[in-house]
Amino acid sequence: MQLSAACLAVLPAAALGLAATASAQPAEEETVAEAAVRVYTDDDRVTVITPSVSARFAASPRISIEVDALADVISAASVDVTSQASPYAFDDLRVEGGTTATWAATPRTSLGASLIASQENDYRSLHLGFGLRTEVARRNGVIDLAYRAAIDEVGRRGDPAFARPRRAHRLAGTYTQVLDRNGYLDLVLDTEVVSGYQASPYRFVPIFDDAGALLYNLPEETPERRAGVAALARVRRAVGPTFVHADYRLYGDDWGVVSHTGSLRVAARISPRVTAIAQLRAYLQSAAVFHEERYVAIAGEAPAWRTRDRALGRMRSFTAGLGCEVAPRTAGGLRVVAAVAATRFVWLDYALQDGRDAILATLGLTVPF
Amino acid sequence: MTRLALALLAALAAAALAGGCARVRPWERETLSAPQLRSPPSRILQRGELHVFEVREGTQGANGSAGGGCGCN
Repeated sequence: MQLSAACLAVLPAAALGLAATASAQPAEEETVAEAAVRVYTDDDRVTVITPSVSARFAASPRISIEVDALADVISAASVDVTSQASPYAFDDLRVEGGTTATWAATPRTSLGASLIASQENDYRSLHLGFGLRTEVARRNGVIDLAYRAAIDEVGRRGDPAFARPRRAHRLAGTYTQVLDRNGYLDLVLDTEVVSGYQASPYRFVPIFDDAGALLYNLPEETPERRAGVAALARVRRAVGPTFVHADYRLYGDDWGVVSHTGSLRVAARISPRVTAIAQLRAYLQSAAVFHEERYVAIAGEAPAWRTRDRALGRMRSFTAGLGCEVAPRTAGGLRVVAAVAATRFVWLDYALQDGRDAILATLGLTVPF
Repeated sequence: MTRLALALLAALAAAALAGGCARVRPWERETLSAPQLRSPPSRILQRGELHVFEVREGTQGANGSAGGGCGCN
């Protein structure tokens, strides 16, 4: 199904995120449980409900363990899906589970390992991650290195013979510097090489002749290798009772895709137990070099690379969100977080749709134990 | 625009290296240890957002950070 690969795209972030957060957050509670429900819905008739649970605890004075699980319950009838995957609406379920172990090798250096597995009807994924974190410059700097390998298999619903491998290797390095008594600077460099099948088994690309007549539809084909680099700079700073996170990310890859992302998040303590959160984000992306609105056969031969993936064309997205975190007085450390964010996605090269409006609502609980 | 962005990132990297000489003592880190300065400030919120964006946009990566370094524990 069309959303399968898309849903699994979150795994790299989760794998790196687990490695990074487990080994690089000295201020996190040692033992904590979290539960959340996220609801994504848009005007393209896609709804995804994602319940998740996680727990982090100390297995020994120097070893901490984190386990987590989530499910994506997907209901979709998008024009994208109906035109490329199936003429019907569909429902699907993705289940993911993971664990991370972190060993404090020395008071200033820790090592982490993570394993995440995910399963849905037409996509299986296994991610292995390793991380190293060390504090430098008298604890005024943190170096974090994270490596992740992904071993995925792409299937196709109703076609048990279809199985294509997809592999990825990702290496991320982060340097965090204490700027002064009120803030940090983060610099991140993240590289990834993906090999294997990266198209959608459900998409077919119409091929036209010079006169504009439809000749035939061919399966989507993209290069089997994609290497990308992302760099991010982020400032986190307290300004009185307000905390500002501002970042810029630049991405480029050998498919010719370049993106710029800017985001601003402001958290304001409006009382000792209530923090209000506001967020703005803008994303601009260029198209892959082989992405075209219309593919034309030359001398009767179709282009070798062809795609109808709107995420490989020129696109923009703009997000605004509000939320709050509350620590009830009588709840023994429990915290409740609730947020709503609205996003406008704009596709500049996609014939079937020029955009969609989406809402993401999140309700979560954090409980120390 | 890409060249300008690269130049800005390089300038920030240089600034960070230069700032490495600065020292903030443990007793000066009360603000730095505030949970609102964690990266991410809320893992619950970040995970959902990453999910949405990485599924629907064509690029990903470099969203994490090494976090505190405040020497709190």
